[in-house]
Amino acid sequence: MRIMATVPAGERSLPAGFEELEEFVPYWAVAGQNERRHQRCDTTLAEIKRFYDAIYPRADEAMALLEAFPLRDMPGPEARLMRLVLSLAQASMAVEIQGEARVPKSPWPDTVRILTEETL
Amino acid sequence: MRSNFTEAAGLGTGTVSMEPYRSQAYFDMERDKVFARTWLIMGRTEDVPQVGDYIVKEVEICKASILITHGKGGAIRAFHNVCSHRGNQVVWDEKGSRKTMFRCPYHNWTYGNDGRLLAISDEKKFFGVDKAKCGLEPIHCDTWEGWIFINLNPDNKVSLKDYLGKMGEFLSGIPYPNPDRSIKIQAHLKCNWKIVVDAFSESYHIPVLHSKTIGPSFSSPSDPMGHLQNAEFFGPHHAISLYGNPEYAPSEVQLVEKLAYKMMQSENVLAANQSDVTERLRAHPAVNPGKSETWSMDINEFFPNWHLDVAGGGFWTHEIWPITPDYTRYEMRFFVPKPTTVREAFHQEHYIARLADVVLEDLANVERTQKGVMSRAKNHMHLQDNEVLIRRMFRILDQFGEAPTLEGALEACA
Repeated sequence: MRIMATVPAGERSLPAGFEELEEFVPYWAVAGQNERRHQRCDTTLAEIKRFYDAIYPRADEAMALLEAFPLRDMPGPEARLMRLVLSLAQASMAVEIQGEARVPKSPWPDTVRILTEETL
Repeated sequence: MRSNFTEAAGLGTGTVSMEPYRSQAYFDMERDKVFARTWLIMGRTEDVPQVGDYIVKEVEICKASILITHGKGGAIRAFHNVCSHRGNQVVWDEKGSRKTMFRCPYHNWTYGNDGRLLAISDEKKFFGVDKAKCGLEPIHCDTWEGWIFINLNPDNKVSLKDYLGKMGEFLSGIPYPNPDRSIKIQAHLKCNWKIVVDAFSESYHIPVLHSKTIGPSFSSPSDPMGHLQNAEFFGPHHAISLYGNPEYAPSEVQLVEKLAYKMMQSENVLAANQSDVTERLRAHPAVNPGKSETWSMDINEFFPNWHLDVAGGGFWTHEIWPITPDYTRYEMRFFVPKPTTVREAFHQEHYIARLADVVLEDLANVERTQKGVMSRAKNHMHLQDNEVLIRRMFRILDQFGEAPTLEGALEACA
């Protein structure tokens, strides 16, 4: 499974003030919990840590900005910022808890699927 | 509080055979004497909330595809999802709504959601088919506390109420927060179904296998092994209460966890949310039955393959479906509120991400266990008191294997 977030032509990647996070959009701003978990599992701890270190210091501020928008109907740049923040929750499992990209000594790819009734 | 649960359950203390994890004959017994005649979980009534809603569930061990419908007047019915024409599946998707008729995609035979055969395409070319006798094959279906169960034995005489017995009474009236919305974690595992049941039936492994993910909230310096708080035994069903560390707090490096739980008042990482409903949930006599200060969650096991787990913040379920003696479908459902803000969505993403890791710690482990069992290096296992449910499950399975009827099996394990 290879998944990427795309930015439509003529649209900002992220809201103004978050430009330095734009490089993380294609890989980490994907829609869906199962997809975000996949991205975390399918890369290295070093890559996860790079993303974590960049996004964590801006996460609270990003959520404060995003609270002004309806959760399920955000404009493109805000929706991508929200997905970056949601990916931080996935990344934190590797960085703060496991100390490895995935659950240690577990198979990858695996048959685990997170099935949700809506795709945020 | 009991201190020797194994003795209280009337069980022996010897070693237990590993053969049931690898024996085709034992698996065949489980199919014929357990899955083909006990009541089996299918879901919640909220899965089919409106007239015209339906779901399709598989019971692989019995090679059955089950169609559950919500008919006019509120009736919840179950049918074999098998066309009367030549046996194809009538419904090919897993769920749907606003459908009071099902048309078999093979030749357009059409059924009502009450199972009646309504129309046969090109009927005049047949040789006098009696449509009244060609409806979908009905299956016994009943609900308990909003949970839908079926029984695949056409001659079944034991009601769902009688089958659940004292377990059903014990747990009746529990208020379920967020019963209409769940997130599912699904996996297919190369192991016997009982190895998965075992993995979610004891707390002995939590401080060890889950040392990083949930170990710190299920054990503490004063109870490093997180011993069982309580155990209850009801016919073929049973329940245990697990220890919880009241002092748990995220460590200094868990910055994102702190951010995710910033606005939560949860004392445990398994608390999905807090509300008036969770207050009533905690007050129910079957939830934390000892009303222990050091409680994390209850595991309520409905024989044979459904666990209804309750914690202070909500509930989740495990379904464990045998496919072959060494292949199993596993589904966990977390009932969680619909997030309304980005902070709630962030908290939920963190909550589910952690649970997916915990589950994967268990799931990778069950395949390793099966491999060891299959090597035949060992033929017996040693079980301690905190593993009482594993020992008890084997006795119940043996009792079901020996009893000629479900009534007899229930009497044997009463």
